[in-house]
Amino acid sequence: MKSLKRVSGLIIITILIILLYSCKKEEPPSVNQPLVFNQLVAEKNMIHPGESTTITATASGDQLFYTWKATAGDILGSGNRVTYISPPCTIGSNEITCSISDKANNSLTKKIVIEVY
Amino acid sequence: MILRIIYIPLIFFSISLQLKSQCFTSPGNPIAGTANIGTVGKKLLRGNLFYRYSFSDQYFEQDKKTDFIYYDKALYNYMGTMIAYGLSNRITLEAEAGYFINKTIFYDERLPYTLPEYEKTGYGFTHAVTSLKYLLYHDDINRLKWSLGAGSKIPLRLKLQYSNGAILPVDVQPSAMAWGIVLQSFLLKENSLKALRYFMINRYEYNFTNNQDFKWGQALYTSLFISKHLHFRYEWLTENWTAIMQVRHEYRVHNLNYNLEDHIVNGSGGHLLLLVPQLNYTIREKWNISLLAEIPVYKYYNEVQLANKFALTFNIAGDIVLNDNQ
Repeated sequence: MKSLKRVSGLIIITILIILLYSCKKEEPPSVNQPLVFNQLVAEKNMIHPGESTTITATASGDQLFYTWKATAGDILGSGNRVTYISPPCTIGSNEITCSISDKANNSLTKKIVIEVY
Repeated sequence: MILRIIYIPLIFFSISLQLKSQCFTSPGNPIAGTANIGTVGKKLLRGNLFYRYSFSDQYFEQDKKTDFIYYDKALYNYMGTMIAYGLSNRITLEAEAGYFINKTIFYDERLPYTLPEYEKTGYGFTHAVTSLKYLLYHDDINRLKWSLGAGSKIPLRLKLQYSNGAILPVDVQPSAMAWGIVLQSFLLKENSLKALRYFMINRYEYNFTNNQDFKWGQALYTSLFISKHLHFRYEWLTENWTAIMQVRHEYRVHNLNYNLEDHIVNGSGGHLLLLVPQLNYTIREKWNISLLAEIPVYKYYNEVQLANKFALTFNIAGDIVLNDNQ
């Protein structure tokens, strides 16, 4: 009689465990969010030497990394928003390039021209 | 009494008006030192290792100070090496290279806007120069020597340096990333009786356009040295010391940036006149330890540039004779 109780107890516990596992939701397979580079905009597109302007990149995707480059002038900051400063002698059309890459190493690039006058 | 004249390393650097499109000299790039004079003897290996600190914190417009606001200050710590080997008694093969431990600019906090950061630092290898020197003329009676050298400048880095994804300002990029040509002349006159030496070094540099469409201006450096072996009454104290005074003129023409509309970087190039006192200590006639300060005494910069205030250099040099039976 004692052993019957033990066996029935084990069966109940096993059924409970099975029920608990069966209630657990299955996670959907991970899908990479596609890299989309929406826009690259500057607060001011025309500045005087010695002035600065903020440049913002808008994009979506997984684990985005932003790379910034200028043909002349300095870029300060990092991420999707940086500050561009134009020292004297950078008069003219200065091109700012923003490249965005995601965790799958996809990459997109946009350029913007800041007129220094 | 004829005093012996031993090899003394002459430290010839360029503070360099090197800049890119920024109108500023910033800390500049040292052109690694020619730490000897002319050629070395056959199978003689001469090595130099130096450390250099440079500091700048004042803008100049032509030859006058200006209150221009952009960088607050700029500095660098630099290590360099030079090796010379005597292929024959007339021909010497020389190689020099350098590394920036750091090259830092500090933006002025008086700028009328807030910056996300006020300090930028670059580091890394600059360039190498390999050259051949030829002893063109020597007159042992009158103690006169004239050597000529020609070499190539080889960039040790061809990619721009980034920090947190943003390109570093050109003033802290460690390398000019340009190939070039270096021509040098060394003239030496000795006076053994007075333990004096006179030197004149000329160096001309031509840089090709780099992969960023930038071309550094041609540069011409002229250095006059006089060295005096300190041989006073207290011989035990002074016999290993040599005092050297260098007067150097640097001239650099405008840089060209083909990304700019008119290509000419107006705020680049100029004239610089420096006094460079140097003190040298010789160990067993083989090793030399030198300390020198570079003090600009006259500056003329095209437009506005951040001028170098001073630089300090510490140099160790040594000779090794490579015999056939070694």
